[in-house]
Amino acid sequence: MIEPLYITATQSFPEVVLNKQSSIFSIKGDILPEDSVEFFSPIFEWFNEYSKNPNDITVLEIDISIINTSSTRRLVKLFKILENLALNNHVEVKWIYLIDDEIMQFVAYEFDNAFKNLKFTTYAR
Amino acid sequence: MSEKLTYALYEFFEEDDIALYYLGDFSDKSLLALTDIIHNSDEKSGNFGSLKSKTIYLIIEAFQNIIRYSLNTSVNNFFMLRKIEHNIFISTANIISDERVIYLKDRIDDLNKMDSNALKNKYKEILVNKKFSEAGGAGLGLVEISRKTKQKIDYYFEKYHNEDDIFYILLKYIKNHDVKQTNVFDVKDFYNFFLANQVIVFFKHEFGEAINEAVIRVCEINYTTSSLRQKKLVYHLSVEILQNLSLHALEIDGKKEGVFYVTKVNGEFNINVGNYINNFDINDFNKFLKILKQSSKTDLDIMYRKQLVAEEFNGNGGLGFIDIAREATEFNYKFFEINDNYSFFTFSFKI
Repeated sequence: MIEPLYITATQSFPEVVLNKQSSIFSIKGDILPEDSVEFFSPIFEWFNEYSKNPNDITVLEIDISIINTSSTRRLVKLFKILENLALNNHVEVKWIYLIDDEIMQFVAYEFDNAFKNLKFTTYAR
Repeated sequence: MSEKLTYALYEFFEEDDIALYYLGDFSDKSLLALTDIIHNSDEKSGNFGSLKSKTIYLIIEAFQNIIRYSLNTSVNNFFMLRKIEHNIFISTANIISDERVIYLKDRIDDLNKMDSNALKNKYKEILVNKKFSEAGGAGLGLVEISRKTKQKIDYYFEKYHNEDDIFYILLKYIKNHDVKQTNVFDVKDFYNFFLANQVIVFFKHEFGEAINEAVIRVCEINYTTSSLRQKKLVYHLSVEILQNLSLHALEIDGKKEGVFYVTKVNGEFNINVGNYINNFDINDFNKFLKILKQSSKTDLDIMYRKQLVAEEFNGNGGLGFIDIAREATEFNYKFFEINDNYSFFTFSFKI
């Protein structure tokens, strides 16, 4: 069984919880690291490992209020992994944004357009 | 703001390890963000070393001064921090009433005449007699400043309205008398310049991740707008441009220095940056920016989407600049050639 990955939130990093056993997959908070490659690296590794033996249903909750463009590109890489996973499994990205936050809503729209084979659902909170 | 002004400001503050000015909020949140800048400067060129705790102490006193004596007017209070080699200058400007002018003038003049022994006795006298004013301090803060800085307190009063005045105060730690100094009249000029040009925040320093975070927090607190979209865009794109600066600015003499400032005119934010760039990189970069400048919003959206999912072969492929170009109402840039090797690049955009 793959070990859960927990990353504690800081000023620039979101809280990350990836737990196969409890089926909790979430990224919450601001994503503003200058070195986004370093930050996302363990997340990619985790999902690559998880993809070898995934749950039947994977719902990744993303609840962020701000993201820099280099991290946006890292999310693209993450969604590519999830898109592959979605070929044989139910995979969904649940994008949560603050009501009235047109910017994060638009970011979700951009991703939804870019990943036609990945299910995106948006929720205003 | 013109691109020339960005370069002129950088040149003016070139000898400063750190120059920070802002108009606005004086809450604990701003205080914390400012002290974080001092803490995070440690690994950078603006190393405060043994001056760190003294600098933070002076910032706290400057904030206390604003909170204690300011009249509640529509004019924003002003804060300045400059570090030039091992000399620290901290200044504030705020509106006070006439009666405070006499009180403060007498008190500061008295303190400025005292030697260290007299200051020590004065400190004890205030503590023993416990003659604390309604404002809360009985001038204890001023006595402590005089004792700690071992410098005369530089101040100036300027008539503002009938019964109100602008109070300028400059606190100094001078370790090296041979380098560039500043005085309260410089502060007055900057305050008026900032008000006239509606500059909210000005920052010249060596940029890096921790410093950027603290700068962004200072900005966020002072970016007042009723539009959530505008606030978020200004915040988000300020992060982009600062990260671009700290990642791509040319390092000269071991420093990646730059200038960052924000103005707010008629409800529109204007974000400005300037940094050195290698002449070798200018041609391609200039071509890229020209394309962005000539592209329509639709073209920029297409370019953004294409670049977003493109293979990562060359960093982010200018994604940050494409994002700025499509969100900003206008952007401008210029390269000022310094020598055969490098130039100064200025970039500004409006939200």
